[in-house]
Order: sequence, then structure tokens, then C-alpha cells
Amino acid sequence: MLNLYRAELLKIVGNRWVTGFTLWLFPVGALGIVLFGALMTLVIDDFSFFLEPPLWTTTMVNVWSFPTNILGQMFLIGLTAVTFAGEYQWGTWKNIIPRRRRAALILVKFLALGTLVLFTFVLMSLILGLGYGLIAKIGGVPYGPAVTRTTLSDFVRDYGFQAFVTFLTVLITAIYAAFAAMLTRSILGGVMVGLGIVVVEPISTFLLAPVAFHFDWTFLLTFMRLTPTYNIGNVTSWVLQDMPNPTIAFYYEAQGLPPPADSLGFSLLVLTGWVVLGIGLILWLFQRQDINS
Amino acid sequence: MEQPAIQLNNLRKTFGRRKRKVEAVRGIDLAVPAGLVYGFLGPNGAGKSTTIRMIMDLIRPSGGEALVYGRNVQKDHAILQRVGALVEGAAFYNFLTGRRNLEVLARTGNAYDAQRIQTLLEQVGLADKADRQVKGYSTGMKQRLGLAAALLNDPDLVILDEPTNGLDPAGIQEMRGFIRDLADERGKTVFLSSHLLGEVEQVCDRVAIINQGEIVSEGRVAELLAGQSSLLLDVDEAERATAVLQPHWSVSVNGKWLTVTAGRTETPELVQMLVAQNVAIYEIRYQQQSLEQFFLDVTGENG
Repeated sequence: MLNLYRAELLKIVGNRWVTGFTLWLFPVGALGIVLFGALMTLVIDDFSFFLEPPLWTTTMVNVWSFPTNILGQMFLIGLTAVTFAGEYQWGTWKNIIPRRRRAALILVKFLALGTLVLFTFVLMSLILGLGYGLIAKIGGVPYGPAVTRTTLSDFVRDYGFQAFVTFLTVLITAIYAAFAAMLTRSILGGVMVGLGIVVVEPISTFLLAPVAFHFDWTFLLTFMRLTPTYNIGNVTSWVLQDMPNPTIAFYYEAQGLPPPADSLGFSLLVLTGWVVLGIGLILWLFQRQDINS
Repeated sequence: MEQPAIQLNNLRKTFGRRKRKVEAVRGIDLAVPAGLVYGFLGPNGAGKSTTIRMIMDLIRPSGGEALVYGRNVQKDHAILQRVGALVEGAAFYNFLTGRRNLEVLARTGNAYDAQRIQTLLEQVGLADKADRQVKGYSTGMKQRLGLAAALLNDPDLVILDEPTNGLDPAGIQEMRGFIRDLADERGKTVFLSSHLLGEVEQVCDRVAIINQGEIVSEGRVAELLAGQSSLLLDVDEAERATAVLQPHWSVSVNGKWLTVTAGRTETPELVQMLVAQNVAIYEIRYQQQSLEQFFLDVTGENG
């Protein structure tokens, strides 16, 4: 399995233009910001960075929000579409399918993509966290918070949770893009359909509650509580604010009903279910596909 | 008895549904003995590549089964580790070098060995270009790399689909020698699909001809062509000669030539008959039908 994983990494990383624009852009961009900040600090005495220097803990944790916003998801969809649909478009499935079971070939793609995204954003967070420290040192301002046992344990917990939520989001986005890529067998098709799903899914999630109340179709509320967007929001809310997802509470409150208060465990279970179901569906589809090109 | 390298039992493949249904392969039975170079011929769209893709578990059969060394490739995918293939033109990751492409494939098959890759690159004549990106390779270079890829796992069975595409005449001759060497020196079975019939005739021990999804002829090349030879006779009295020979052979008259469908070994008997009936013979020519002619006859492509 290690050989297969290395083979997949070689393919993804070897496609330098694609990884450059979808992954390395983030740490390289972060490095650019740090270098620019350092240069400005040397040149301008009252550089605005020092009016409110960020906390290293916040800087490093916030990095994980990049891949979960729509722009970050667009990059990820592009990378996933190339990883999956590329094999059809380049006619390379015919070389690799006889060498391994189809299920292993698909699973290793998700594993390689997941670890590459994690590596990229760990690197980006380190560059920004340490880089801001360098700028602060050049400017002679404090860069907090002070490293204590409590600060460190809080940071590790928040960083770990945020990375985990991001990983789940990335995995679900990758599943959308992979599914679209495998259905269309084209990189462009994978990107377009994947983007469509990523845009439509959250919108439809938040439309479900008003539609349900308007037509009195309460079963739609159950659907909504099972969507990835709602549950990712719920996990994030529990991790950062120690409370259930407040985003859709006002729909319920307007009806004089108590808002849903699903637990962290419930949402993690639902998201795990989505991941298993999504990957299972892709495996089923791929197992039945004829490779004609 | 040794297990056939490939055995196809009533193998079928239908694409599409209802009105758009196309029967690409219509229940073919075939056994490829181990240790031979086996030719698989057919016109475009005859079902050659679909059959090869079913053998390589790239396409699911609609019926029947494809066995490799006695094991069903769909149920026992691991048997394909004994197979190396170049299917319908070499395709690679253009952004990687030739060497890196082979590494990716070897690692995928859990058979990575840098030294073996180097040896294969040397064997196919790409050692000096191995560290260039494949996007700069010519079609012939890609075919050579494809051949190296097919041999990565030191397979017992090598399936080559149009391996000489894009090669220059010297490259074709080299490839021909390489294929023969695989069987003769290294004991491998080669299943060769090609439209270059002269090439197949020179290289293959046995051939199967597929047309419209069905096997129309199969056997040793020499056997297939033996029944297709003829003798051309220049005689003084064509009518009398025809009357003498017709009870025993098929005879036709083309100008001054009498064409008799007979093998070379039958020549003395035929001559004796004519001499016994006082027919004067001025010239006899033996005419062996080429595989190309035979192919055109059995596939109905002869007009």
C-alpha cells in the first residue's frame, strides 16, 4: 500500500502546474506576505501591522478556514478533478487498473489528496505563525500570547479540531468533485459539476427550513439536519463556541419552535456517514465502469 | 496438460441499450497455448480491442468469461500480475519523465526496482531519453516506453495491441525480433494484435481472425495457408487437362494458365495424371496464398 501511495503522490506532485496553482499557491502566498511584511517593517517606521499585531495562536488556527471557504473549495475541486478525471482524459487507467484492485486505486487517491491538503495548510500555518513572529521581532513589538502549558494545550486542541473539521470538509468536497469527474470523465466536467454541487448544496440546505415551514413539510427539516453543510457548521460551532449551530435558529424561532440542538457526536456521525456513503458510491460506480479509452 | 495462457469461453460484450445496442463481441471461444506468439487479427471495429480490454479487466463482459492461466480475471484480479500489456497505443503522464512514468507504474503494481527500470529502458533504446518529459516523446518513443511498461513486472503473458504503431521500418524490424525473443529466449507467451499482416505472418506461430465480433478462423499460420495454396499450369490442351484434374481438385482457367487448388506436395501426382493422358506441360508454378489474402477472404473484405 505504501508503494501505491507513493505512486499517487508522484503523479499529483509531478503535475507541477496543477499543484502549483491549487496547493503550493497557499504556502508560497503566505511566504510572500511574510517577506512583504518584513520588508515594509524595515522601510516604514509605523507599519500598520504593529497597531494590532495578531496572536500566533489565532493566526495559525485561522489558516484552516482557507480550504473551507468557496474560493478554497474551488482550488480543491480543480485538484480533485484533475486527479480523478485526468486518468480518463490521459488514457492512463488502462495502465494502472490491471496492476491493482480498483477499490485500492480510488481509496489511495483520497488518501493522497487528504494528506497533501493537510501538509499544505500545516506548512502555511507554520510560515504565517513563525513569519509574523519574525516581523514582530524586526519591529520590536511583542508577539503573544506567551507560551505557557495552558496556552499550548488550548492551542493544540483548537488547532487539532479546526484541522479535523477542515479535513472533513475537504474530504466531502473532494467526494463531490471526484464523483462529478468520474461521471463526466473529463477534467472540465468534473470542475463544473463539482462547483455546481458545492454552491447548490449549502444554498439548498438553508432554503430547506423556510420551504418546510411555508408548506408545512416538516420532513424537510430532517433532511436539512442530515446535510453536510449543516453538520459541518454544527461541528465548527461546537468546537469554537461550545454550542449548537445557530445559523438556522431564527427560522425556528420565527415559528415559535425550539431550534435544533444536535450534539457534536450526532454531526460527526452524520459526516462520517456522508464520507462513507460518498466514497462507497464512487467505488461502486468505478467498479462497474468500462474503461474504453 | 499445460494451462492455456488465455482462455475465452463464450465471451460477449454489448454496448448501449435497445436501439443503440451494439454487439462488439459475440460469444467467442479461444484458447491461447502458453509459450507461443499468438496473433489476433481483425479489421477495424472487429472487436479486437474490446476483447483485449476484457482480458485485462478494463471492460466487464456481458456474458461468458475470460480466463488467464485458468483463473477468471474478474473474480481473481491478482492473476493479472502475471500479465503485461500495451493496450491500444501507449498513454502516459505527459508531465512526468519516461523513467518516472515507469516508477509510478511499478509502484502501483508493488514491483518497484530501479535497476530493472534502467535495464528495460536500455532494452527498448530509451536510456538516454529517460529523464525527459514524455510530452516531448514521439509516437514511436511512447510505444517503446509502453513496451517497457508492459514488461515491468516480468510477466509470463505479454499482450501487445498494435505495438509497431508509430515505429519506423527499422524500429518495426527491431520490435519483431524483440517479440520473437520474448517467446523463444524468455519463454513468454505473446498475444499480439496487429493490422500489419505481413508482420504477423513473420512473427506469429498461431493466429485467430476476428470479424464482426466472431472468430472466423483459427490455427497455425502454416496450416491455415496450406489449404489455400494453388498450382498454375501452362499446358497444351487446357480443356482436356481440366477434364482430367477436375474430379480431384478445383480447377479454373485464366488465360493460358490453369489454376488448380492443390498443395505443393500434390504436384507429382498431378503431373503423373496429366502425362498419363498425354497432356503436354510447359510450366508449373507454385503459388502460396499470403496471410493477407487469406485474411481478406475470410473477413469478406475482398470485395
